[in-house]
Amino acid sequence: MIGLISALTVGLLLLIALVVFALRQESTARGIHSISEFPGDPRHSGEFEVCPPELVARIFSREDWELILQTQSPCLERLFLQERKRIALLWVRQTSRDIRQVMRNHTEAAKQAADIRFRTELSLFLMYIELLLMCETLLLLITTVGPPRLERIASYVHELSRQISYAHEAFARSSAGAATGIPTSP
Amino acid sequence: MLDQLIWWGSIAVETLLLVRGLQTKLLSRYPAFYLYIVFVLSQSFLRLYVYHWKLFLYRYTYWSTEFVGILVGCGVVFEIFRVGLRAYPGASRMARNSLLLLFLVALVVAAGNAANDPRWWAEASITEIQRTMRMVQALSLFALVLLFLHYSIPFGRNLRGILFGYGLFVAGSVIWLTFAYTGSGHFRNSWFYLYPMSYDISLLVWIVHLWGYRPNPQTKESAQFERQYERIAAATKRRLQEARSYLDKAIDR
Repeated sequence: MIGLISALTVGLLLLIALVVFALRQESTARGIHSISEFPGDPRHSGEFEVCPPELVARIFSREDWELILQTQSPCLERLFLQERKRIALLWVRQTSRDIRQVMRNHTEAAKQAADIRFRTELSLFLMYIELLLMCETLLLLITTVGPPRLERIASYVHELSRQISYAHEAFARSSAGAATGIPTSP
Repeated sequence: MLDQLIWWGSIAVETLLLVRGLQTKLLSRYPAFYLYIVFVLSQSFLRLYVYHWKLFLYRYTYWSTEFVGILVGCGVVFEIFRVGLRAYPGASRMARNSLLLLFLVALVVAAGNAANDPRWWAEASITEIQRTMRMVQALSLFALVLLFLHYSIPFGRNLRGILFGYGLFVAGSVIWLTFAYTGSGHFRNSWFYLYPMSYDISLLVWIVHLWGYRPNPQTKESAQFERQYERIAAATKRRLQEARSYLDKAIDR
């Protein structure tokens, strides 16, 4: 029975992957690019645009929330939570988009590197997946629990994304050093 | 009547595909794919002959040609890999290693299953063996497609058609063979028509995508990255290790 389920899963996964692949190829062929792929976009330069840590800490901080609680105004509490949730969701989506962009820049360079290392690529990929999963989890938690209760997990994601950004900058610098004048991003 | 229609329909489209392949010189660009089409075409005539004149041999002929078809189909998968990643040595190396890993895992799983149930090989039906072989092929294609997606490999219309058509056929085969193995007698009767029909869909995909020659998109000159990975990897590794140590602290906090 397990064999049958796994066979069906493999067949369906291949079908889904093929459909995604075909759609992606079609959009590339038609020249449809996401906004971030236009030249001049700050993210195109390989810079990782994250909010300052103080702002991120503030978004998820309990301090403001506790202050609002002291007013004992349900209307104000609701408004505060709505606004904070909106900002937090925006931050997570932006972080997620930036992570994708960093990885896109990396794969664009790595796919042409003849001396690529399988294990390194795998570990980078796993870290990328971990980050994306964290972002998705954060989105879910912000929607259900609310930002003030997520302080710790947010700082975790923020620091992880910053470190990936540093890694990418180092990567871009080392490439640019070897071939001055050739743009480092695709 | 329906089976005859499917049969002759496939033969007509395969012939057209070969004629167009010759006219547009696609045959020399994708030799493994056209070899597969030639094989399927000859197989169709052979089966047709056996079905009408030597019916008692049909079952044997059908399954043996199916197995050879899977092996010839592996050439198509290899061609997709070879042509698609020709301009990308990094992605090509990743694909080779991923496929090797996949085959090793498949081998270990198969050996484990055989050790647990030594009679499997003796008792397994032809459908089961074929499904297992198609599953390995489907997994290889799945791994390749994921890699193409991850590294954003651009495909020309021709190669895209070959991959999409063959992928559809393999995925369809795995699903149909699973149902054929478990399904009721009614389903098995339908399967007799469904399986060749799923191949006809692939043939239509191929004829649309391979009607004329369309080159693969040109890649940008990028000598800068060709031998840079050592340095890139060292910098990346160092930064990631720093990240990991920081994360450990963040979690422990």
